[in-house]
Amino acid sequence: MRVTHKSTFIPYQRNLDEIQNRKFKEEIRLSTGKDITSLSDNPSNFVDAKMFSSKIAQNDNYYNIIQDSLSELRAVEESLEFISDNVRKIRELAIDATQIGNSGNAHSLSVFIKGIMEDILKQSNVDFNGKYLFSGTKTTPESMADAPENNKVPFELKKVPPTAENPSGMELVFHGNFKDRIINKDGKTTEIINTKADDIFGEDFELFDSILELYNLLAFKADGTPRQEFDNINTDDFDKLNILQKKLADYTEKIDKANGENGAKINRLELIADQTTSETIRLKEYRSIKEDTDVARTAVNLQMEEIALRYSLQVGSSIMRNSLFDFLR
Amino acid sequence: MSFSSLEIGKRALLAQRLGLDVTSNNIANVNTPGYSRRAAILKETNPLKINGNYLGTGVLYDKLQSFRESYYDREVRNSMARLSNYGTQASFYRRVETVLAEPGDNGVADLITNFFKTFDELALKPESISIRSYLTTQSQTLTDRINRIAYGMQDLRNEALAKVNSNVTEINRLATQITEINKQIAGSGTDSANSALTYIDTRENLLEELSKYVDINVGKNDDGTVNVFINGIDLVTSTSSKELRATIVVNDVTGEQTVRLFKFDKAKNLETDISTQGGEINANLQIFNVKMNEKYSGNEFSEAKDFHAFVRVFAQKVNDMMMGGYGLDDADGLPPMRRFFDPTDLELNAFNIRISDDIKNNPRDIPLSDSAGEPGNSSIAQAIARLSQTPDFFNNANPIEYFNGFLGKIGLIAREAENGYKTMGLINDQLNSQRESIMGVNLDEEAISLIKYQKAFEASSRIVSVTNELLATIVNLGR
Repeated sequence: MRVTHKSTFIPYQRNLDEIQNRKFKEEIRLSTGKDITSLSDNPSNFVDAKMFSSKIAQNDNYYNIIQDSLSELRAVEESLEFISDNVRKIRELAIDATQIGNSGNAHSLSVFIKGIMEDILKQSNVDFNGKYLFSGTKTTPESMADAPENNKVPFELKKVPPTAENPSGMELVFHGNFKDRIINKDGKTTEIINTKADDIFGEDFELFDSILELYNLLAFKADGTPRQEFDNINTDDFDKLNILQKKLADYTEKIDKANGENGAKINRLELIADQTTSETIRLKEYRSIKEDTDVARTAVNLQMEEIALRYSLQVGSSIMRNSLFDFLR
Repeated sequence: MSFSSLEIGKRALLAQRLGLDVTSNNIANVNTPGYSRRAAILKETNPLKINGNYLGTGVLYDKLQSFRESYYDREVRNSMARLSNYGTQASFYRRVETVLAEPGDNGVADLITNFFKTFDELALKPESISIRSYLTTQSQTLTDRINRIAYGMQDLRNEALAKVNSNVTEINRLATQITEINKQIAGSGTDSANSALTYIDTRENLLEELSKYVDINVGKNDDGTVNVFINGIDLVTSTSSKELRATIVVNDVTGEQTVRLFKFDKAKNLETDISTQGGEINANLQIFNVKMNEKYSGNEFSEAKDFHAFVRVFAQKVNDMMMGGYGLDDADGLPPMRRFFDPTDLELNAFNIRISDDIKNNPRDIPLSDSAGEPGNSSIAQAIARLSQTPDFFNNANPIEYFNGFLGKIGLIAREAENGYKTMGLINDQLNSQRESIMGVNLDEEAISLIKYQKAFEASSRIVSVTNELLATIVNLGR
C-alpha cells in the first residue's frame, strides 16, 4: 500500500482520540466511583442497579414502618397486660367478696373495684403518638364526634338515670369502631396492625357490663339503695358474684388471647424486619457489583492508557518529523 | 548539424518545467481536503525517418493524470451519510440523558419510588399532618421533574426542527454549487485539463459534504457532469437543480405535527415529497417525527409518546383511587371526589401535570380513607402504595419496573447509536486512508519528482548550451 502524507495521519489521529477517550472514561470512573457514567455504558447493568436501588429504598422504608409498628404493638402489649392484670384483680376481689369473713366489706370492695375499673378505662383510652390504640380507624379526638367536648376519648363512662338493674347509673359508651388498620409490611403482604375493642371487651362490651354489674351488686342493695359500710351481702348476691367471677375469668382469657395475637404480630414483624435487613445487605452487594467501579482494575486500566498515550505521542512526533525534504540540502 | 537539437532541448525544457509545476502543485496541496494528486504524463514526439532509420525528436507533454477512484468516492460518501446519521443520534441521546437526569439519584424512577414509599408511611400514620405535607412536597418535586423532562423533550424536538431547516438550507446550497460546477465542467472541454480536475475535486468535496446531510446516489454523465438523487428522486440533473423544503404537516384528527420534505422545481412548483434513508437530516427528522413526538401515531418506539402515556396512566390510577376517598375533615355523605393530580384526565399530560390546588394548600384534604370521619383509616393510602407492585400498571410492568425498563431501552438505543458511530468512524477512516493511499500526496515521492524534473531540466538546459556551442564552432569555421 502506498503511504501518503495524510494516510499516515488519519489512523494516528483516530487512535490518539480513542486512547484519550478511554483514558478520560477511566478517570471519570475513578473520580465518581461508578462504573456506569452514561445510560449507554451498560444498559443492562444500569437497569439492574436501578431496580436494586428501588428495592433497597422500599426495603428501608418497610423496615422503618415495621419499627414504628413494633413500637405501637409493644404499647398495645403493655396496655393489654395492664387491662388483663386489672380484670384479674377485679375477679380476685369478686372472689374475696364471696368469702364468709368479707361479706361485710362489700362497700369497700365496690369502691376498690370502681377505682380499678376507671384504671382499665383510662388504659383503654391510652394513645400512642396521639393515636388511640383500641378505637379502630377512629384514632383521633376529632373523630370522636359523639363524645363530650371536654372528653374526646373512645371509651366514655356515662351517667344515665339509675334503674333497678343499674342503680349506679353508670354506662359505657364506645365512640370508636371495630375496623382494621392495615399496613403493607413488605412488597407483597399486609398486616392488620390494631387490636380492636371487640377482641378485648366483647362485641357488646360484656366485660365492662360484668364489671359494672359487679360494682352495682357490691355498692347497692337489692332495693337500689347504696350499701353502707359493713352491710352484709345475701345468698342471692353470693350466687351472682360466683357467676360474675366466672365471667371475668373468661374475659381475662379473651384479653390474653388478644395479647397473644398481638405478640404473634410482633414476632412476625420482627422476623420480616430481620429478613428485610438481610435482603437489603444482599441487594446492596448486588448493586455494588453492577454499578460500582472496581478500583484496582480501573487504576490498572488508567495506567495502561497513560502509557499508550505517552508512546502514541512519541510516535506522533516522529511521524511528523521525517520526510525526504529533511535530508535534502 | 541542424537546429533540431535546439528544438529537442526547448521541448524538453518545457516538459520538465511542466513536471516541476505539477509537482509543486502537489506539494502545495498536500493538506488540501479532497485534493487528488496529479502527474504530468510525458510522451516521446514522433520520430523522423532519416536514411531509413527513425530518429527521436524529443519529448512532449501529453496529459495531466489525476489519481481518483470513483469506487472509493462512492464508498466514502455512503459511509459519511451513515456516520453523520449515527453521530446525530448519539449526540441526541447524550442530550436525552441530561434531560432525564440519568444516571443519577434523583431521576423520575427514584422520585416515583419515593412517592409510593410515602403512601406506605401514610398507611401506618394517615393522621400525621407532617407525612401528609411531606407527600405534597415529594409529589411537587415529582411533577416538577416530569414537567421539566417534558419541556426538555420539547426543546430537543424544536432543536431538531431548526436543524432540519438548516440541513435543508445546506442541501439546497450544495445542490446549487454542484450544478454550477457541473456547468463549468460541461463547458471546459479539453482546453484546461488542470482546471477541470480542480473542479472535479471541488465537486467531490461538495458531494461528500452533501452526503453528510442526506444519503445520496450519484450518476455520471458523458460530459463529465453528475446527477444527484435522494432515495431515487433527482436533486441535481446535470446543470439544473431542484429545491427542497421542509414543511410541517398537521394531522387534522390527532393534531400530530410532522415534518416532511418536499421537492420543488425552478418555478417553485411542488413536484413530490422525499423520504430520506441516512444522513444528518434523516436523524433529525426521526427525532422530530418519532422520538420526541408525544402525539406520534406510528408503531416505532417513541420516547416522548411513551413518557407522556406513562404519566397519564400514573396520574389517572392515583386519581381514580383518591376520587372515592375522604380527607381528615370530610363529613359523611358522598366522597368529595378530590383528585390528587390536576388537570382532568383528558387534558392531563407530562407538560401540565401538577398537584391539585386543594390538596397542595391543605394536606388534611388528601383522601386516604374510604370512609368519612375515620382518620385512622388508610385503606386508600395502602392501596396506592400497592400500585407500586401492580404487575400490569403500565405495559405489563409495575411503574418502577416500567420506568427503569424505559431508561434501559433508551440506553440500548443510545449504545447502538454510539457503537454505530464508532464503527462507521472506523470504516470511514479506513476508506479515507485507502483512498488517500491512491490519491494522496506523498512528500517523499514529490521530493524525488522534484529532483527528477530539476535534473532533467538542468540536462535539457545543457542540451541547449552544448548545441549553442557547437553551432558557434561551426559558424566560426567560416571566418
